[in-house]
Formats: sequence, structure tokens, C-alpha cells
Amino acid sequence: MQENAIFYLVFAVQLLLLSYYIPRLVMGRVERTLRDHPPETYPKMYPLPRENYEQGNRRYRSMNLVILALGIALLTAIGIWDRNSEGPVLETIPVIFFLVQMLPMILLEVSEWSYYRQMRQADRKTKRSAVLRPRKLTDIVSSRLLVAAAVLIAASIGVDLYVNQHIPDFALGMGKGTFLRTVNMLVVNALFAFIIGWNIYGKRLDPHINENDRVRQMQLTVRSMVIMSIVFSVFMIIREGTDDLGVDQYQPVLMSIYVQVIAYFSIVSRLNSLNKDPIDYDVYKEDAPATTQGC
Amino acid sequence: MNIFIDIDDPRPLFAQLIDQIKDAVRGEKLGPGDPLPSIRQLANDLGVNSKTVAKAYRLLERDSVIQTRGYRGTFVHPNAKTNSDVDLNDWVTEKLNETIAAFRDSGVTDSEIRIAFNQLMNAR
Repeated sequence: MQENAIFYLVFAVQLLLLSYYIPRLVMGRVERTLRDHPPETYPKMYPLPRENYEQGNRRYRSMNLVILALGIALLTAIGIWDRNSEGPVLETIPVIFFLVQMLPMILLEVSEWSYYRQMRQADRKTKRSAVLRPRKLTDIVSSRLLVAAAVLIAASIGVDLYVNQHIPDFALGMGKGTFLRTVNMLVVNALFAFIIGWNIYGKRLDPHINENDRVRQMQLTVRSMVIMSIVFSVFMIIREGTDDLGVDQYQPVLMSIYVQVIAYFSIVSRLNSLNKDPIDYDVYKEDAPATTQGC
Repeated sequence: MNIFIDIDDPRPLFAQLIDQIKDAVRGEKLGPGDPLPSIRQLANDLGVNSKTVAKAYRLLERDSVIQTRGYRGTFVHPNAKTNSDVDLNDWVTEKLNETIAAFRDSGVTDSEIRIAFNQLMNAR
């Protein structure tokens, strides 16, 4: 089946992107940081001994290798199953495997929280500073992008309503599927909004970071959240479109492309941007003047 | 502009915030109508309790140095520069000094003044 052949290709790219390319980027960044900005020169960046970070990096690599092997085994199993049976691949496979592939990244995020907590606990400086200016969402991300995200949320709900208008009413004039997808759309976007709000107004995680770098990281995170919202809306519109056009056998392919785009915008573009324009590491030196810390 | 706090400073944190905002207004680093960060933002950025910042803002608002315009946020008061020079603490100290001096001249003892003052304050 042609759609299954395309799926193998797309799923193989998903495996390589999430379990090989992204881990390589992350580990490369950690190794480069440890090499170019060692604990001896930048002690404030390392609340724990160097070995802890090297061990964490090795653990992250091993987890990704195991998941990559599992993915190759899964792809082979699907290929064997495909030879012996008719019908498309299950739509949920790319998403379920995506969640498995994201596990090391989630663990990394959790350990990052603990890393910042240790950094704050180790922070001995008594002087703190903040910018006496309100931060607004539109200072962090362009209003055009925000409008585009809002319009696409409305468009995706509108398309769903239009495509499924023949289905009997369930709630608020919608069919049951449309209602659930609308709730799903709103909940996912509420989560994005929460993450955005927390990034802009929440607690300063890194007590040493330069304010300009902090705002830049904020911009990267908020922008990726807005783009993810746009991608989610576009995905929902295309999904309803493929349903309506009777080409829903391509949905596993679509689903895999969707999770890859999400991974790209949430991780790859952020890391590339940070690698291209590095942060000010001088604030992590032992004798960093107080005025450059978080000003 | 940046605002600084020093945890080791004997002055309370809210007083450090008030002094710096008033200094910024007097030094024209902050002008009438300039927006100020929200209580939550400033507290999170400084790593202090939001009640500390809220107290500083409340006292600055009482002194008409800043004003809160509902959901739009907090701004520097139009007469902030003039009002920044008014120090209610100095005024209270001066008035109390005058009153205590008058009591002493009338022969009232210090302990009687203290008891009366405490009774009045506790009754409020």
C-alpha cells in the first residue's frame, strides 16, 4: 500500500529526528558547555560536581539509544504485519511512540528544575536586582503571530463545524466529535497560555542569568509555544480536511509529520538559536560583579 | 532602569524598594505616567514575597507617588516628583516630638506617656 510505504519513510525520519538528531544536539551542547565553560572557571553554573552532569548525559544517551532500537524493531514489526494483512497502519502509533521518544526529554526537563533549585540554594549573593519595567506579551512575541494563532484556533473550530455539520447536535450546536475536539483545542491552548504566562511572569529560575539572556530565552520559549499552537490548529484543519476528502488513510503520516514539526519548533529551533548566539557566561564566574548579575 | 535590594541591609526590603522608586522619580529616571511592573513580576524577579512588594506599592500609592489604574497596571503618579519629597515618617516623628515635649513641659512622666500611647494604639 502506497500510504504505508510513505508512512515507513516518515516514521523513520521521526525515529532519527527524535531519538538520534535531537539527543545529539542536546548532548553536544552539554559537552561543549562542560568543555568551554568548565566548573573551575564558571563555578556558579555547576551546583553539583562535574561527574553528575557527565553521568546525566550518559544516561540520556543510553535512554535514547534504547528507544531508537525499540523504534527500529517497531518499524520492522509493522513492515512484517503489513505484508500479511491489508489496511492502513494505526493512526495512534506515531503519537504513542512520540510520547515514548519524549520521555528522556521530559526527564531532562525535570532534572533541569532540580538543577536550578540547587543553583538557587547555592547562591550566596545578598544583592538582587530586577528591571523596573512591566513585561508585556507583545514585547516578547510579535502581535502578528498572536493574531495568527487566535485566527487559526477559530478557523480550526470553524472548519470542524463546517465539515461535521450534518452530524446531529450534541452540545452548543456541535456534534459530539466536534465538541470534544473543540474542548481539546481549548485545553491544549490553555496549557500553552499557562506556559507562556509562567515564563513571562513566573519565578526567575536561574539567579545569575543576565537579564538580556533571560528575555531572549523567554522569547524563544513563548514564540515556540505560539508556533506550536499554530501548528496544532493547522494540523486539526488538515485532519478534518483529509476526513472530508476521504483520504484518511494518510492520517498516520500526517500525525507523524505533526509530531516532528512540534519537536522541531519546541526543541531544535530553540537549541539552534541558543548555539548561534550564546548567552553571557561571565555571570557564572566566581568573581562576577553583582551589577551584571540579573541586571 | 534596575532596582536593587540587599538582604543584608538592616532596612526592611519594602523600605528599600520605596526609597529607590522615590529616588528614581526625584532623579527623573521615572516620569509621570511611566508604567511599573506588576507586584507578581517584581516579586518573582527579585525572589521576594509578593506581600513585600505589595506593601511597598501600597505605601507609595498612599504617598501619591504611584497610582493603580485597575487592570491596566501601576503607573507613576502625575505629581510623583513633588510627592516624593514628602516623608510621612519624618512628619510623624516631628509631630510626636512636639507632643512629647508638650507633655513633659506639663509634668507628665515618660512611663505615663508610653502607657497612654500604647492604650490608644491598642484600642484602635
